[in-house]
Amino acid sequence: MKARSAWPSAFLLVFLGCGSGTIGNPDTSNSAGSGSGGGSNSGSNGTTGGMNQGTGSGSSSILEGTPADGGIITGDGSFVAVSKVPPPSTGAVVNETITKLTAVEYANTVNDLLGIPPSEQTVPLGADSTAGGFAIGGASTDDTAQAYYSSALSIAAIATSAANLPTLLKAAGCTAPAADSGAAGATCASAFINEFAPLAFRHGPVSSAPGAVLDATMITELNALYTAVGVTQAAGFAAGIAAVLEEILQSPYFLYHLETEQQALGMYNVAIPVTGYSMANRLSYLLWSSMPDSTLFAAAAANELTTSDQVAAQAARMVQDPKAKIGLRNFYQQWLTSLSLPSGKVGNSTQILPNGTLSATSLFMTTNGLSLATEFSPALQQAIIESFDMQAEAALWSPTNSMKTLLTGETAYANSVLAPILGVTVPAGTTTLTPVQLDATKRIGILSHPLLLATYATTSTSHPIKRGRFIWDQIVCQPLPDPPPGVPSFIPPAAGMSLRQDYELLTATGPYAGKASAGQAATGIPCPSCHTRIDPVGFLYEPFDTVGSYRTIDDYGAPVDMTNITIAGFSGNDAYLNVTMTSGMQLATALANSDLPDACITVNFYRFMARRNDAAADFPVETWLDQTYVASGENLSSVLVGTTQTDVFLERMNIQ
Amino acid sequence: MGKPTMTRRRFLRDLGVSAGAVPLLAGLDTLYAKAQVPVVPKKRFIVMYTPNGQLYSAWRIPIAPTTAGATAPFITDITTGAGLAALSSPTTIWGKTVASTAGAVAPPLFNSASKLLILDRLSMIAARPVYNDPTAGSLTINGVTVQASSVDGIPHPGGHQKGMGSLLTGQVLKGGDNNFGSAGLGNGISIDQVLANQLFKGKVKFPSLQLAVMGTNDLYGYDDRQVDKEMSYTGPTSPIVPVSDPFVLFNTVFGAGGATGTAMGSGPTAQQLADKSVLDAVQADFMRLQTKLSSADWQLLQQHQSAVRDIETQLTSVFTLSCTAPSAPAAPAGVDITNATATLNWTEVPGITPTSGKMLMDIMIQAIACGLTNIVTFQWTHSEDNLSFPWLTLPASQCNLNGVGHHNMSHERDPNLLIVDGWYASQFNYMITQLDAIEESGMPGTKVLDNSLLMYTSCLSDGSAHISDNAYFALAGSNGGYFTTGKLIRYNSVYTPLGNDISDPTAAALVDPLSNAWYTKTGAGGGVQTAQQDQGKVGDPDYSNNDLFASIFDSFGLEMSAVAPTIADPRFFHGNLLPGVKAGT
Repeated sequence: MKARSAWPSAFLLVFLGCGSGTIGNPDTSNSAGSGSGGGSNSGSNGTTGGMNQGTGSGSSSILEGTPADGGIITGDGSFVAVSKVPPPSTGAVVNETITKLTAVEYANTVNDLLGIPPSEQTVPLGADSTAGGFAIGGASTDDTAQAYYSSALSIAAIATSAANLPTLLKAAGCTAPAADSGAAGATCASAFINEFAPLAFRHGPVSSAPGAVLDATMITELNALYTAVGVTQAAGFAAGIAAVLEEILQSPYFLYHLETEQQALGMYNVAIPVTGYSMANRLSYLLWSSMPDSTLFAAAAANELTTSDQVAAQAARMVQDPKAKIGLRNFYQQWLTSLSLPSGKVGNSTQILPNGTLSATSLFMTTNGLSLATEFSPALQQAIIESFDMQAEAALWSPTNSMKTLLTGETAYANSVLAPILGVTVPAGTTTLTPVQLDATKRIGILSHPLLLATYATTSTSHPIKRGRFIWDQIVCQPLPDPPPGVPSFIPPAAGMSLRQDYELLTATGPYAGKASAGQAATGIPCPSCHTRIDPVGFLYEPFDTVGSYRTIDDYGAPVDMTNITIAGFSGNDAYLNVTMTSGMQLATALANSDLPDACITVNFYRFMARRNDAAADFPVETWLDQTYVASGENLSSVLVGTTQTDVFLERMNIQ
Repeated sequence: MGKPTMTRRRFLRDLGVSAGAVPLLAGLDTLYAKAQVPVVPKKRFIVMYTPNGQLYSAWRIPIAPTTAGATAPFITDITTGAGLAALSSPTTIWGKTVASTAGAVAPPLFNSASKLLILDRLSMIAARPVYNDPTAGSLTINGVTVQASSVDGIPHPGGHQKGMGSLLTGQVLKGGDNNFGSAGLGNGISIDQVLANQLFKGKVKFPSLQLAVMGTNDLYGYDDRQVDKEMSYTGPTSPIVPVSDPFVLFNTVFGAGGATGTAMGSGPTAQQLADKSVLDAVQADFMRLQTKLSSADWQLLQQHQSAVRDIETQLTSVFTLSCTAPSAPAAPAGVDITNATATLNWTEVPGITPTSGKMLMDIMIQAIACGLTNIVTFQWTHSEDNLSFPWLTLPASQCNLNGVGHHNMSHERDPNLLIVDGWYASQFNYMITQLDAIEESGMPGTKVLDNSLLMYTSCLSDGSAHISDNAYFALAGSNGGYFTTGKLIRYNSVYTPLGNDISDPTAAALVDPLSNAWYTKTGAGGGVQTAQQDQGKVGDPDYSNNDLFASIFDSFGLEMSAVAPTIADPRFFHGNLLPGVKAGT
């Protein structure tokens, strides 16, 4: 249990709880959600937490609001004020063990520290683990230690090259000695260490205070290392500096998100505030996925990172910094799973369908006459990846209606290679991605972006099941379990049958509802229990092929049938969404007008912050984040800043 | 708190992971001069080949299979009791002490019993005529009838050819237009090349080496017939010609002008010294952090610190014992060792065979000790070679087929083959004992042999009948503890060929039951190879070299079906690991 009472004055800490941002002031103005969602899941495996969590619907179905009135309007028309302060997370798991930098955090940190961009850091690190659906630094095996070693050598070599060494030494105010002399360069090396080490270790200057991270021994050790390599082993000045960098880049002081105050206090099993340099790091890694800047360091040094208001003020500044784009990209690339674009597609240039029959029309021949394999070139893949980021970021950083824009926006970004896929035109020879207007009768929003359509596909056909499941898992946050073991392999459609009909037959849905299915015979689990939810959503995106081009004939030569697609699986206050729809645009619009994606992105950002799955104790806070997002008119910064006000962000607990 | 560090080190050994060696020999350009030290599996595969099969009665260990269990595989402990007694019987190549006037001297092979795993009755199924000759009719093996065919529709005659071509490839022959009809070439990549490509390419200086003693010299003059002379293949019908010249080999491996007798010195490189300083400091950082963190946090970091300690050990291990100055082969009197023609000619003098063989073996052993290679194939001449043995004392030849020579002796089932093949076996024992004398760097108490798999084999089982069925494959070394050792495993109960009195290898009449042709000590002897002679009698179960290779791949952490589909050919590979060979099973 966490204690919120006053601390003994013997400890030099400023307590949270002053000012208007009082933590622990429960706001009961909104009732908890009724736990809607996912009622028809049988055999669910509980893939991620938060399933069935109250998606903030509570007594409301549709939430609207404006920033001015500081509240939301619920579905029954009543106004509900949203507190500026999150409710307490009583019983929520507060960050317990320290973690390692993820690969993205390492790359960004090296970039900020040494000016070496991620594209030039060519040594791959060990894989991260995941928690709550987001990357987290994993355990360190011999292989990961080997990777850190190799990476450190590579980075140190770049940083101490003849071209780069002067830049590296600039802040220390000295230059490399003549003839690379180790002995002559000792003074400059010492100046470099004194300037660089505190920056690299991110926790302020050398201090012997309890809880301080950087100790005088570290400086002594780094100087001794320089002397050993540069002088005693006669490897020279540059090699000595390189050795110092290699040490730093492999040191746990660099590789871990250290938070040492609690150990210094000797306090266990109780949540205490995170302040100072530890808070500076929490803020920068949450919002920038990188190390703190000089403003944050100065605030920590001046003891101005202790109250939640101070934290909020820094957060508000930080979301306007260009680095926030990089931080948010790290978040949404994981939330929207946009890092998995396949690297090839295999069209069949001889017009033979996957089920072995000849097609009457040119299948796998695209609108510009290329085979699929040729069309899905590296240049196209690059354009797809970059245009996705541009479209997502333009939407997510909109000051209002960010989610609506994300889901229903009609602006995309295309160059000559991508334009035919999107069904737009750009001037011939356009290599850079320029804004284009989508044909809203065919596609809108990010869900119809070729990156998602090509990722959730096979190497030659669309895949409505994968597409449907992605939307339920990541946009609605009512995830579906994996197929049960023993499900028979996919059988392609018979001649004349469409892919949609084939799936309906295989999963006993649509016109085949009530029929026996091979899947159920094999596994004992009725396929419709999940597939009445998944399939219709996927079918709404059947107008898009495996690359994301619009088409009216599907991959098996049958017309794309958009009739009788009836959504199912929403429950409670969202049950109104269970209607017949005729296009992906209709679904995207309906979702955008509901609260579900807003709740979903806030839940995901909360998990991103907490680096774990959420549990019941987190739900009130997540609801509050959702309401804050809505009340701001879908300004995502309200969520980014609001997250820094939650207990889980502001506190930690050591388990003895 | 945290895992004990021994657990981590043991895990490290089980993986067989080590840093690639940084040879400390001057004049070498290493693959990793500066930064990256790749992780090289500490496992090795070495094949030693003898030609023309063996005298079956001398190869067989005289112990009744029923003593080893009721059903196949029959497993005998050869390190004690009756098993060791049978192994050390001087009526066998394992136990025969052979005096030599030249070359590597080593005790008989039974002295390495605890390191050996002898596999009896594995067949080179891909060498059977039914898979290599469409005119061979059909063959029913254990109730399954196979219709004869060949991959190219051409009949490929010759047991020597099929045996050699399939030995390491586990595949049939393909192609024609060589001496002896359509001799063909092996139609697949060989196991040593798959291992080299998968595990060592880009990580060691020589992903594999191919050595031969008189590998190119054909005493019959069949110089245009390659399938007899190479057993290592980079791909279908792409054999690698081995190196037969020890002086050329030494220069290749250790560098031209590689100094003989120069003190190479031992000690770390500048990079290793700097690395050690850096990694020492990193470990010190971990120790200082221990007091600043909770015990749960420290547990996490301790794993990491342990990993850093492990890579420091790998990166800075110094080859003092194993890799000091390599000794170049001694220049023979009157031979200009800078002239490759002269040196090759010198190796082809028949009495020189043991000397050049020892030179090649010594270079190979030094290369392994220095981490320059992990995969080696070593041939004593080649299949159908007719080498004579002036350095051995052979009683007057007991056979009468076109004079003395190994090929001829094999057809006659000359009892003198006990001495010849006993000598070859002692050469294998030399290789074993040499590798067993080298301590594995970074792993005190472990020898290089422990992390190696040696395989001693021929292309035929009964050389006289041109049969490649029910052959012996003798393994040595456990490849990092994977293989059991000190055992003889017999896989079926068929004696090939039938009818021999196994207790009397010098019997006056040795019957080949397949052809009913008699070869006698004094009789005319045949040399006539009938079709019947090439039909092996197989046992049930009918395990193959492909099955053995699946276990060898497994010991390297690879799955044969994934990395070597041609060796995993379902006609020859039965889909599972070879029973009985894995330690602990």
